Amino acid sequence: MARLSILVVDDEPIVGKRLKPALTKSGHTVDVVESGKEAIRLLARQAYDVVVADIRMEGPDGLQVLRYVRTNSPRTAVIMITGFATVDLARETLTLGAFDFIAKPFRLDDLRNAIQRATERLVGDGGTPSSR
Amino acid sequence: MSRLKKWLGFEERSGVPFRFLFAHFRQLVDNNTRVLQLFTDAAEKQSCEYVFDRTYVGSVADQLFDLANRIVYDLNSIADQKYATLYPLVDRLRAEVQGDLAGRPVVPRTDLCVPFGQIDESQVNLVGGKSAHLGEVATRLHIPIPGGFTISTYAYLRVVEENGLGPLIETALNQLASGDCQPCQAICERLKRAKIPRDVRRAITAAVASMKVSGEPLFLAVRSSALGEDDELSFAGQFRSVLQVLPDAVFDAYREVLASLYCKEAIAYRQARKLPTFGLMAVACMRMVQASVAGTLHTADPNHPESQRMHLGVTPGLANRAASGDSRLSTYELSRDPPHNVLDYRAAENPDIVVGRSQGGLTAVPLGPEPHGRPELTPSEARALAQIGLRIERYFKHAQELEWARDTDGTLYVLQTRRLQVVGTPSPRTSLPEILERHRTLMHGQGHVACRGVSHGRVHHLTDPSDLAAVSNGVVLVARRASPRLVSVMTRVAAILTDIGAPTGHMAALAREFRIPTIVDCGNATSRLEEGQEVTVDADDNIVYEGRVEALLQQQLVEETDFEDTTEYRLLRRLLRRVTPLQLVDPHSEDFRADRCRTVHDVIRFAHEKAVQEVIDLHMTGGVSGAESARRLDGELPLNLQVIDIGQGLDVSVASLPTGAAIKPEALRSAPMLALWSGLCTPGVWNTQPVGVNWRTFMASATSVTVNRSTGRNLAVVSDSYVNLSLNLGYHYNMVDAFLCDDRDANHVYFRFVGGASDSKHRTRRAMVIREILEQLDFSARQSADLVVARLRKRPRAETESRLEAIGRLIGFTRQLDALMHSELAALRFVDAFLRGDYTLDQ
Repeated sequence: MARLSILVVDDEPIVGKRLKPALTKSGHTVDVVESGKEAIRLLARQAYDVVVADIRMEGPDGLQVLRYVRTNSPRTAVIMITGFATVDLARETLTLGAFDFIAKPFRLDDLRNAIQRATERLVGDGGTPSSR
Repeated sequence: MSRLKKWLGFEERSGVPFRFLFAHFRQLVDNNTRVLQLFTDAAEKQSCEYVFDRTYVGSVADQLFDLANRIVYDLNSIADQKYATLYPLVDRLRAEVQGDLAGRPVVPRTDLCVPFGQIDESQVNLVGGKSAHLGEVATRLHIPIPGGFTISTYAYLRVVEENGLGPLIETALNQLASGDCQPCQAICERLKRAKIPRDVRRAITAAVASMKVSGEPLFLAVRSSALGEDDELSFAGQFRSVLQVLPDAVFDAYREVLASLYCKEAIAYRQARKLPTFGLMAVACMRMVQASVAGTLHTADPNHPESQRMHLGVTPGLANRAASGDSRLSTYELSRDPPHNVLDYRAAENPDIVVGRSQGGLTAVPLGPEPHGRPELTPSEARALAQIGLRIERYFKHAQELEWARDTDGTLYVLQTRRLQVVGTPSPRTSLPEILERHRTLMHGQGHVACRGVSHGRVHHLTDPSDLAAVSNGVVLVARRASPRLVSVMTRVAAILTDIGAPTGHMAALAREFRIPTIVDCGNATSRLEEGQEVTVDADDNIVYEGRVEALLQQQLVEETDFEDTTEYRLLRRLLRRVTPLQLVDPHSEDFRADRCRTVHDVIRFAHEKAVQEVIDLHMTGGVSGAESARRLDGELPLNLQVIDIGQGLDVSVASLPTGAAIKPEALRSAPMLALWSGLCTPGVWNTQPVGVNWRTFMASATSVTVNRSTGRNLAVVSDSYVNLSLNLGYHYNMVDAFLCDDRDANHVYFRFVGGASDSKHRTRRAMVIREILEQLDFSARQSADLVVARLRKRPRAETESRLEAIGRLIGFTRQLDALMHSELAALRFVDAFLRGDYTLDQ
């Protein structure tokens, strides 16, 4: 698997604390933030291959992070996660350009698979994972 | 009809047809499986493989208790309300869990004082965090702690009630939210002067009296054990401890410790950690260790856990200075690896030491010049402390911070143990995937992960499941089959691998409770891994590596440390701690009773075992109704077998047959019955040639065999997926109770064999043959004289089917075998013959 740079955005600390070591074990470089505001600040400074964002957050929510990424870094894949999954919400995020949508609780493998597909798309689009 | 009933010897139980009882049984089995599945799911979420939230934890709790209630209802429906006491028990457990989840711990209004010998972690709401941990150290790990008891949180509530402090506490909580600490200070003062209720006073007096040894002065260490203390939060040094307390002064010391719940420091700590309530205070009263040396132990370097070093802080005299930091400590650096050599020693000089006064209280006395510079502990004592620390660390699955003391007779006591906050470690320069590629993989993806985690040790093969005493500390235990009996070694092993077993089984649940990385159903772990081989078990990714994979172990330590600190994780862990521990592991034990159930797991285990027993007993005692549907099975075997269909066990065409008409084997639709029948009908198995019987032994047995000797009462109760077969074959009795479907967790085979026509020696040898064969077929079997009881549970459909077929052959093959059991050797020959498919009786 390619080594990717990944940003995790979730206001529940357990998410980042689970995702960071697991994705690091797979060889990726992972940054974790707990608000949409911090995420946008980081995204303005550097490029990520994948952003994993919770939808419901105080301040700028996951959908706003998604819009920011689609406008400013179109090659970045955004995977949305939520504990309040509905079909409408899934449809909305995908319409806005999310790469995938995963409901909590989820297996890390579900996320790993989504990241793998994102890698394949990156390579298929002629891009290479961003090096840091 | 009444003649038929009489002939079958059946009496209806309160007019309830068996098919209704059986429907309850099936429901119970299904729900039992679902509870175990929920345990597995929730424990899996606890591992680092899942991401979950608070909503999830609440929904798991609701589902668990709904299912537990239904199980209790089904059991009581089968057993005629014999186990109705389980209803209030489940309600109580539910209230406790809901209180926990809402941040309002429910205190059982049971004991005012609890001796340490009876304390374990499940009583944490009653005895507080510190005592619960120490209780586990003493009762589970058998590491010395000073004796004594804990005055419970219930006693604290009694003090609050008696002194009318409830409304004050309520007000203080509200005012604290706006930053006003004054009311807390007032409560603190009130508690220092509080009246201790008579019942609490009496309980404490009796508990102290029980600690007295005639001729020896008794001094107590009276220590805080608040709810939550030394648990997820350390509260280190926030509450009071009073040392060298004379028995007469115990009430003053008790008040002082209670009052510290509202002291400034503790309130500030609560505010900083955003704790919603004041908590509850239990108080540990322990025998005072008159320490010659005492200190602290960190089982890892909190800033550099990768350094593989442990830190010992040592001071002459009592331990209070070691923890409070008001004296200098000599320090030992020890290797975490056996034999835990001393890597560094730095002596500290203190002008005085603290000792206990004979009239109570402490005093500092000047130290003479002699001890300066000389190590306070011998290397072997330092090593012993390291071993104690690592055993506790392995048990609690986290680096620990201990307080300890060495008594004047040299005994090392653990005074306190809590989780060490490890701040982390820099990432390795080489990425983990690259490191892992360098290690040889011994097993990958075999079996099912029962409990995730990473661990390391040397392989120990459990060849004799009863020889658990030989299992040493820190080994990777490799066993043929998963068994809840392994619970007795779960505090010492590093990991468990089994050839056979289900991730939803009882042992798997226990492994999760003890957080032992465990992979079950590996198929051939016993042959793939060598005794003594050093391995690292990565039960996160289901891989066994050769040797020690340091980077993986390191990553595990840091990872665990980080996410275990989150609120969601703590909630889920607390829930699992309350519902999953299994105390009732042995159905043959005297303690296997409804009133001994303490968790949901106990309840469902008890209910399942009793339900199976009830169904069997209904057949054994003839307490079954529904005989109007009995049909004689007209087959080639002389069994005179009556079949009762309780749901799609026979072909639909049977319904149109006249009452009393026989059926052919072709009409059987019951999957487990068909498997048994196929075994019974295997060519050569049902041997009809006469066997020479020694008439002397026959006559001897004829007066002593207790089984029902009348023939013609053989019975099979069948449904599409169930059979309960009772075969009375002259002088011996076979009983099979089996469930066979596509859901492996619901599958079970229970087989019982008893009796025979020859003398007891011959009958016992035949029972031995049966047991041997059943064990070879992976059954868990017990034998007592001529009785054999065997079980097989949670195996996949094909395997369960083939074992039922084998039971069918075994029933036929062993029918006349007792007369041929001339010696043990002869008996063993029959075992071999059966296993190679030779059913002739002239071995």
